[in-house]
Amino acid sequence: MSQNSWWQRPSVFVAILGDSWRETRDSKVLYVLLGGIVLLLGVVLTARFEPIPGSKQYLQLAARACGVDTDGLDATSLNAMDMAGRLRGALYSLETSETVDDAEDLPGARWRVILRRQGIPLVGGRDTAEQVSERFGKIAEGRLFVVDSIEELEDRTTGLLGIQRWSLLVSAGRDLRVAWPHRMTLFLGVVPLTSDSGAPLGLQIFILYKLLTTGFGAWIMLLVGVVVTSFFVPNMIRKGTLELLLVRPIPRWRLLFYKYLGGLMFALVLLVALVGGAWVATGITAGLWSPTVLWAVPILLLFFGLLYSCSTLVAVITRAPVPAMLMTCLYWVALFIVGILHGQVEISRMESDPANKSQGISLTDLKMNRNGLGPRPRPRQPDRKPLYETTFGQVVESFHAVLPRDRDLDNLMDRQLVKDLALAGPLRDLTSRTGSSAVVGLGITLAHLGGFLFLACWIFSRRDP
Amino acid sequence: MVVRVENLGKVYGRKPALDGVSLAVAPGEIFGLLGQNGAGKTTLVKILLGLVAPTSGQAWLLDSPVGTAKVREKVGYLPEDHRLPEYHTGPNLLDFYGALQGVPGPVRARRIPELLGQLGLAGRERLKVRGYSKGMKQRLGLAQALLAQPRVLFLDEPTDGVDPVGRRHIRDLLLEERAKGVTLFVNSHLLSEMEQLCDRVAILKNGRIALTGTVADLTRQGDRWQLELASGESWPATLNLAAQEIGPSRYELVLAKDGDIDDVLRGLIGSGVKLRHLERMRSTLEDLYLDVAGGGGA
Repeated sequence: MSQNSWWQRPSVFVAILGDSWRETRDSKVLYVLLGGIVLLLGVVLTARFEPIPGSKQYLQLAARACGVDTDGLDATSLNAMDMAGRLRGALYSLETSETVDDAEDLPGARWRVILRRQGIPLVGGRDTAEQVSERFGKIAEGRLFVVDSIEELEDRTTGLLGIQRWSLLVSAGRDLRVAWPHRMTLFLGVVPLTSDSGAPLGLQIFILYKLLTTGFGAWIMLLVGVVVTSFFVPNMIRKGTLELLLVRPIPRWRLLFYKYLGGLMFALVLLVALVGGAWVATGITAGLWSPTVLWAVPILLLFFGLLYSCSTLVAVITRAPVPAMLMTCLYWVALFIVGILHGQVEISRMESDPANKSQGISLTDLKMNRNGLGPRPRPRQPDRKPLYETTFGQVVESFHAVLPRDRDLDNLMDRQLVKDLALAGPLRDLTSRTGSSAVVGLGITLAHLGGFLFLACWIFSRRDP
Repeated sequence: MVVRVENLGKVYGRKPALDGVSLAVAPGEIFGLLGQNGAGKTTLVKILLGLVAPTSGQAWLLDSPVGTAKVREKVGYLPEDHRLPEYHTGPNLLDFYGALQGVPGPVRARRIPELLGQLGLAGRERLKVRGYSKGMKQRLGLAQALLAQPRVLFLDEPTDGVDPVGRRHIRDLLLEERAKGVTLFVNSHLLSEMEQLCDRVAILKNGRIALTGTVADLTRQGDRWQLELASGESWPATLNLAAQEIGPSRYELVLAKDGDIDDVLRGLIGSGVKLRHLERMRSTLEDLYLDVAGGGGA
């Protein structure tokens, strides 16, 4: 017989995880969900992304951007004055462009481009071929094109008029494909999902990731996860089963904590299947591999961990799965409602104070506003207090300050995705805007999770079976 | 002493479950705890296992205060109305409990098939517990209690739901454990089983020990004897002893002391009477239990 203490026996942890795994498999729900995921990903695998010919707009954009300093460009505060201040003293334009070797005008092609610079006649400075080569196709931190070769076309007459011309051989930069419009279809081209003009590939993949992982897919996974795992702890602590566990030489809190980890394992398997599958399926169909989408696994696991810790606490108190399930869903709904209401309070604050407009804005809000879906700034009614100044608004803000923020976690994921899938610098710049809110959100989530779990372990350790 | 309890008390809310219980169990002894439902038997066992904290008094197991991890490593427990997780197969379940108990993997690998064989569960290795009958579940529960080769076994209704053959089997197995030096602490309502199995019993009533002693002492009815003479023979008048006739050629005697039966036998043989049967009368544990637990006073 082993005389080792419990902390010297990792087999205890392995045994309880194994027990949870058997319980999970026994419920059959795991197989149903995995089957559902396979079906969903099978549908994704029938998707086709066809690029639409037409490089002109991007070459034109790249040409014009040569005359502008786009470093650190801020999409949210972009205006004419800003742009004017960024001009380098000359205007660039595209004279002609054609694909090399009669290739189709798609992101995989190379282009012969004639670029024209119009400076100030007689007195203006000139740009070198190296400068143009560096600037062409670069927008903030993004790169649409790279210049393979460049040759200045000398012309004494036009030179006197401040005009320079270059012949460039360019090919796609790392961000061109992401920005290029693609037509998306499902079921091997049978069902079109975009208009004939298509949409940027990055945006389509972003929406697909959102649907499959942090959006709809995550909601389904979390909901089923909460329902299934709400039986785990009550099953363990029911009379007749509990005694067989408590009599072992292991601290009670550790039994419960390991069981909690076993529930997380259930969620982890599903999340890895869903997110990993979505990553692979979109990678295969779109040829775009954004590893940051895999961040959805820890982020969603953290949120599930929060819900499951609530379920564990209620289960320890009531010893029944139904109250655990209901209270957890109620907690989730409460977080969601507070998040929505807090969004309204934030909007009211932004409307009242333009200086705050760019602070703490989420990508979702930005997209909604851009598409005209979100709340537009309303004319201020002088006789009515803005929402954030009302008692209701302050109550909402108080709750929001102390409750976990699932929207913050969602935004954290969005920001990570934008890094890979946004056109270039402007949207990427958004990623640094709301960092502090995500950190606070993470901290509060962890604090709630730890609090629930601590309380559950404390009650479990002290109560007579 | 393996088990030592001094003035133990437990109150649930305002209801006392145990009230000043004191007892001791020696190594290698089979100790039976009897009592009606709600008498405090399970509470006493749970306190000894460290599952429930006593309100007053003290208890020791294997010379250590109850409830320590060190003590629990040496204890096996089969609770009453246990509910084994049904998603396991028998071997998986034993492996799970063995790992929690700290039984090393190689020992588990050896002991599990051995125990399943001993308890008549061999050949059902792939069957999940939900497919087990009540008796099979009971035997599997007993197997998990025995797996870690404990020094003390606490068994609450160990033969509940088991058929007579299986009951006999389990009784033999428990006696084998006792022979190995294991101390057994048994709760049961099957009084005939307890009578055959236990060395000593205690009867709990309303949270107090109403009676305790060896089974032999408790069931002895003084010096009452029954005799059966050869057919047609009657009690010899020469014997200066009043015998009560209880049937044809059957008589009952109450003697003053243990050795007097020898004088009776000599007298009968001297009178030429043929003796066919002689039996010392005992009451059953059930009689005793009904007298004590079923009666009005403690």
